[in-house]
Amino acid sequence: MFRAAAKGHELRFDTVGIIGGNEVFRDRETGSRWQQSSAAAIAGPLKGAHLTIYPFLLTTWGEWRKLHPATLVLKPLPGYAARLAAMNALLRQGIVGRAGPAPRGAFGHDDRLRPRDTIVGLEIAGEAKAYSVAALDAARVVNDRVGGEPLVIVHQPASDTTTAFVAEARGKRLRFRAADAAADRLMDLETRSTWDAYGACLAGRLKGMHLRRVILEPEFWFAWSEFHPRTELYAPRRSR
Amino acid sequence: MTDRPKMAAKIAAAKTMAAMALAAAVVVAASAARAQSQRRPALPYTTIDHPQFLPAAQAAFLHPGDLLIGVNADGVAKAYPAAILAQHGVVQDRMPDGPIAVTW
Repeated sequence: MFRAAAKGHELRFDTVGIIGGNEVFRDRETGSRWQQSSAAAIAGPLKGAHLTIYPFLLTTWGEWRKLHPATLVLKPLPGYAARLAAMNALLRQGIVGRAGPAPRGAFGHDDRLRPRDTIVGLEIAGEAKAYSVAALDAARVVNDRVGGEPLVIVHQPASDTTTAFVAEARGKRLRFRAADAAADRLMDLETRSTWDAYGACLAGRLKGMHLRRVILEPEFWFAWSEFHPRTELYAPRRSR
Repeated sequence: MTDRPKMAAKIAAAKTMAAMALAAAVVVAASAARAQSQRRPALPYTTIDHPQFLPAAQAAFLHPGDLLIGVNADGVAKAYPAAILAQHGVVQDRMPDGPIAVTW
């Protein structure tokens, strides 16, 4: 999910191949090639440029519709609609990751997670960190610090929705706990205010405040670790 | 809010990519190769250039548990079902704050 522009050009992309098991795009305007996981142009006139990730949410229809009742929905092209049921089943199964080798061409060898385990990744001030979705599923709320910023990462298992925010209000760090098993309500320990999972304070001393959102990149571990080789990782405890 | 890594690290990564690109040329040449998705005959894995949208109430093909990517800005909210995105490399679209390329 990118802003379709770089260096003053509006760009239109086509998928042209795969490197390291991760998609590569080509823009029609300059013919430059772009690696999806790194959002970087790897060849062509715009080589070295980066695409900006456009803020997005990976979630379910049930959850999205609650958040945005007036939402529009992309219509499937004729012929493609027939595959939706099968695709949906596959996708939902794979959301926490699965066993199996990395795809052909994958060149990462970071075995801290299985290749097809899923993570959400973020980068702040040059520091990259990935959070195993399986670990988030168990933890629900994680308080962390990356690139010098205090963060809170929230995972709602019912919809497999993960969100992340700078955990700060009025210049002070906030630490959060889930207020319920669904993690759709949080409480900060500093003021005991109530928050939703989308950064909004609903009740208490900080009511009306909104935390600054951090963009998360959902990916397979093999792709994230290939293109963020020094990444930190929040992962499930290995069983003894 | 995210910052991109330092340009030097990115360029270093790009140089590595170039080396890998040579090795991966066979993979790149394989048309519509999508390592992360099932292979199916006939329907091309191609960019949607002119996406069409339905209002929520008419999206009967969606079930509550179906995954999607959602965006919202300036009062406009759009949902791109993952099951559609996974059949196309890119959806080119426009939000009030500029053009976007939706990828899965």
